[in-house]
Order: sequence, then structure tokens, then C-alpha cells
Amino acid sequence: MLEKQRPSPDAPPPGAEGNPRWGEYVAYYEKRLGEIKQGKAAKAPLRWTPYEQMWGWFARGLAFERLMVALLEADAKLPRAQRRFLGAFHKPLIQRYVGVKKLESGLRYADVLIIEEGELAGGPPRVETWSFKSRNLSGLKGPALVAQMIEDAMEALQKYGETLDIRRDSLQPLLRGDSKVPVQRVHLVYEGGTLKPADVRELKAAVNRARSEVPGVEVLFQ
Amino acid sequence: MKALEFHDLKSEDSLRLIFEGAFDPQAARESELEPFLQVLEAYAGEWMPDVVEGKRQRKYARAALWKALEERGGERYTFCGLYRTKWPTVDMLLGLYLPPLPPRLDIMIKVKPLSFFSEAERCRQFVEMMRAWASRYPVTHAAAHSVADDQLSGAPNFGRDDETESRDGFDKIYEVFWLNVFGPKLVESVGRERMLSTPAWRVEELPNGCVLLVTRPTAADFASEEARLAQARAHVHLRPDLDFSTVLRTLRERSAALAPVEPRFHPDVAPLLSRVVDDVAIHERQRKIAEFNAYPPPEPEEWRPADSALPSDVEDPERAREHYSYLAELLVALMHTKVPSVFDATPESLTDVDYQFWHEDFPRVFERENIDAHAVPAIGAYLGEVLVRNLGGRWVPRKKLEEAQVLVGNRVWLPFVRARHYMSSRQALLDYSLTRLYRVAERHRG
Repeated sequence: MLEKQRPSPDAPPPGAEGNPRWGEYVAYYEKRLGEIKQGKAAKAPLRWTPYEQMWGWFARGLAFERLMVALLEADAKLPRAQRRFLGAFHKPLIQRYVGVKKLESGLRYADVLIIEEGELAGGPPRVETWSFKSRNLSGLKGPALVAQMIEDAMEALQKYGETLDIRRDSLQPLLRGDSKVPVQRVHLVYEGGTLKPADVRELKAAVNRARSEVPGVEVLFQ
Repeated sequence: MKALEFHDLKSEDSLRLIFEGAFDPQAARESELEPFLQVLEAYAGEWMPDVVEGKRQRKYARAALWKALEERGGERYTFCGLYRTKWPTVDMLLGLYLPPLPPRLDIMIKVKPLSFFSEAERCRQFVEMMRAWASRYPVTHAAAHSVADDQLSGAPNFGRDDETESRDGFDKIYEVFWLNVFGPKLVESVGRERMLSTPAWRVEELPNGCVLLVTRPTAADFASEEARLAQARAHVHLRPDLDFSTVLRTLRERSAALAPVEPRFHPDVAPLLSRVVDDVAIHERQRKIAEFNAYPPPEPEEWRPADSALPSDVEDPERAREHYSYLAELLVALMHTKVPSVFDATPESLTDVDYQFWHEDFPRVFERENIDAHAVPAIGAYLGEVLVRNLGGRWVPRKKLEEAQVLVGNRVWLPFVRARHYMSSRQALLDYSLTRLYRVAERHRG
């Protein structure tokens, strides 16, 4: 029975395609199955649905994203002069998972896209994009840390920077007929806390190096 | 070819050198960098890197380094890594800021352990290396010092906000390190004569106007009274606005914070606390050990005497036990990638789980609702299962999870109550560790 239900790394069920957890699930299943065969355990492995559900409740990336969106939303409510993140906007409209298209990278979804919805003075509205990463950078050596940050910043710029074709219908009125708009700034925000390298000097130096190589991207830690 | 992991030497401090020098972007890159490498090869000696890393790793050779820089292909900033596969470990970055940025050679070297630099001759070679580099590639400021002490000094901000620090850099003498090179601007701000008369082991004017200053012959004993006196004297000489006794007191406090403390942890939780200590930054390590030495983990309260246990109130105890087993398996699902031992359900697995939750700061990071609804039941069930399997315990099922008990010897334990206490904060993970409850249950097995 268990043998028959054995999941295959190359054949995820519908809905699990492209899910990074699937490979881990297969490894988990194999481990439990192996134990049963050896007579070491009698416990049947979990099925994919409860396994995946448990991960969903404790997905670090999603938790960080929620936190950042809450911070941005709170920032948007402040008077402009007091804002920490969104001072460049008169009236920022915060949108999540916005489909944006570029020739090189195709259709991607920006974690957050912010667009000016007030005081339009002709020309395209101000647009900024935000990419959030819960990446554990704490164990990296100096050069590896710099390499990772530059890679992430490049990727953010390529996917969510320069000129974007904004696909979301509800935003078209703000775009006034031209869905292709220049992005003023791309933000790459890493989760801080325990994922952040403890050495302040090295961290700051790495951020400076990445900013130097990829000037269109603002790299920060939260 | 594997670069030696710094993690193998977690408790050790390092010597770090930082250096940014001007270079000529017009000249061929190789001819401009050759002198740098010649100096490195001449003076690094026993800590010479043996691996170069661009996108790939190669055995150290100048040709391999050119290749690595080219491979990285940065347009405004390019770099490569240099490591060592043997003791002492080396973590080194060689970078180039390129036009339109002001062209600079960017060097960071960390050699571990710091104690490697207790030998005066080795330190002399290190100083000569810095001297040769600073003579060839003019700097505004360069330094070498203990990483732990550097962190305690408040570097690189020294009390300024990030923006100010990024703009102004090391624009006045915020700190005197073991080895310092001051660029012409800093020299002029102090006054050349005054700087050259600084009380220090070595003060030397370089041909390009920089000044090399070394407080003491050796780097490793930076925290000794003698070294702190030398550091304070040099600092207040260069910064007459500072008060000698205040500077010295601050330095002594730093030495005290870094003085090695022998771990004497409560035996029940010693394996857990040791891992937590390994996880904290090097400059906080000794204070953390001292804190844990003085830390009595609270006596577990999630139990009742066996004779006042609640009788099972479920209709189908077997089904209830299966449910606990299912809940416990959810913890395995959540942890197995990071904590492979979670499959085994042993006391060691509990310690690994305790550490992982602490390391991830789990109770703070995730939504409270999800923690209470999904993590707490899984953890409680898992703890119960470990008691059952390893201590011959027996589930006494109840309709309410919080009332479910595991009978071990003359006590019944309430694993779901423990799990709730445990998940209330990061500190609670230590105060209500699964490890500790297991050890106490083990002693009361009867």
C-alpha cells in the first residue's frame, strides 16, 4: 500500500508542481518507508496535503512578507515628511503580487508594487517595487555574502526594475493609457534578526559593495 | 578542495584587516594588482590563502585570481574570494571599485584564530605587509584588529546613524586599533607633528604622506592591561578632546566582556545552552556563557503525582493515541530538513528541536494564531511520544489536548501544557525546554 503511494520526485500531484517542498516531501516519505521496511518503525508517513499544510502555516518567507506589507501600509498612513519608506510619494497605493512583464524575464509577480495615485503632474506616475527575501545570510563568509547580495540585487533589477509593463487591470487608469512605465526604485529587503550576519562592519560593507555594483537597487535589512 | 569552515572554530576570535586604497584604473589591471599580490605572497607566510574563488574555485595562483575577477565580471564593483584549506583559516575578499565610482582597491582579510598572532615575528610581517600596501595604494584609513573587540567598539558607526556613516566614513579618529594607517587628511586633521609624536610601539611616516601606527608588537593580547594602556594613551594623544580615564575605563570594560568564562551550565540543559552559545556573535559569547552559568532552568511544573492523574475520558483510547502520533508526525514534517534527528524521537532529538526553534526565533516570527493552533499540538504530541518511547511512558488520553497526560513512574506529565508555555517566547524556549522536562521525567521514572 505505502509502496504503491510512493511519491516520485518527478511526478508531483496537481498543485504541487514547482513547489520547493515537494522534493523534501519525497525525501521524508522515503525515510519513513525505509524505516518500516527495516522494521524500525510502524508509523505510516503523512500524506502530501497535511505535510504541505503544516509548511504553509510556518513559511518564513510569507511571514516576513506580511510583516513588511504591514510596515509599508503603516508608513503610507503617516504624513509624508514622517515616512520612512514612502517619502517619495504624495499618495502611495500599495499593491501585492502585481503581474509585471519584461521582454527579458517574461511575466513575473512583484511582491509589492507602489504607485502614485495623487497629484499627477503629467508623465507616468511614480512606481517603486519591493522584493522581500527571508534568506539565511548569517553563516556566509565575506565574499560569499557579497556574491549573494549582488546576485539578488541583479535579479530584482532584472525582474522588477527599469521599465515594466504593468498587467493589473485595476491600475490601468493610473497609468493613463501606457502600461509601460519606468520604475524609479527597486527595493530588496532581507529579513533581519537571526538570519542577518552578526558582524555589523561586514554586513554594512557588503551592502555598500552590492549597491555599488547594482546602483538601481536599494538593499536593506528589516 | 574545500575551504576550511570558520564554524569549526566557533569560539575563536579573528584578526581582521580592512584596507581601501586608491589605484589607477587606466593601467592594465594585472600590472596594477601585481604589486599587491607580491606583497601578500611575501608576507602572509603561514596564513597564505591557497584557494581563489570567482564563480568557481581554483588553487591560488595569480593567473587564477585574474580569471576569478574576470569571471565575476562586475562592471562597477568586481571581486573575488581567497580562502585557506588548512589551519589557520582565512576569509579574504579582494575587490575593485571601478569608474564611474572613485577607483579603489577593497581588501578585507580575516585570519582565525586570533591567537595565531601572539607571535611577535608573525605580527611584524603582518605590519610590513600593511606598510607596503599603504605605500603603494594610498588610503584614507586602514586598520587591523580583533573582530570581537571591533564589534564592541561600536564600529563602523561609532554612534552615528547609517546615513552619516556612509557619507563621512572614518573622518576622525573614533578609535585606535592595534594596527592603523591614517591617510593625509586624517593626519592633517590631527597635525602631522602631533601624530608623529604619538606614544606607540611604532609610528612611521610613509612616503605618500600616510602615517602607520602600531600600538603594540602583538595583536592577540589586545585585551591585556598593558595593551589597553597603550591603546588609550595613543587615542587621547590623537584626540585631545577625549579624557584618558574615560577612554581607558571603556577599554577595560571591553576586555572584561571578552575575558574567557568557563561554562558551568546546569547539566540538564548544558547540551542545549552550549549550542545557543555557539550561535551568538563572538563579541557576545563570553557574556552569554556567564549569563547561562548563573541561570537555573526553572523546575518543570507541568506534572501531577500519578495518584491524582485524571482518568481517561475518551471513548476510544486507541484512536486518541493514533491522533497524538499523527500530531507528532506533523512536527517531523516541519523539522526534518533542518533537524534530521527528529525522525528518531530520542532525548537528543528534543535538544535539536529546542535549539532549532531558538535559532529561528520561531515564537516571534510566526503568527500567534498558527503557533497556538498547529505548532503547540504538534510539539506537545512529539514530546509525549518521546516520553512514551524512551522512558516507558503511557498516554492517558483526554478529550482536551491540554489535559492529555503521559504517565512515567510516579508522575503524569502534561506535554501539551508544556508546549504552550514553551512557544510563548524565545526565552521561554529555554525556560520550558523539552530537554529539561525529559531529564526531570527521567529522574522520576521510579
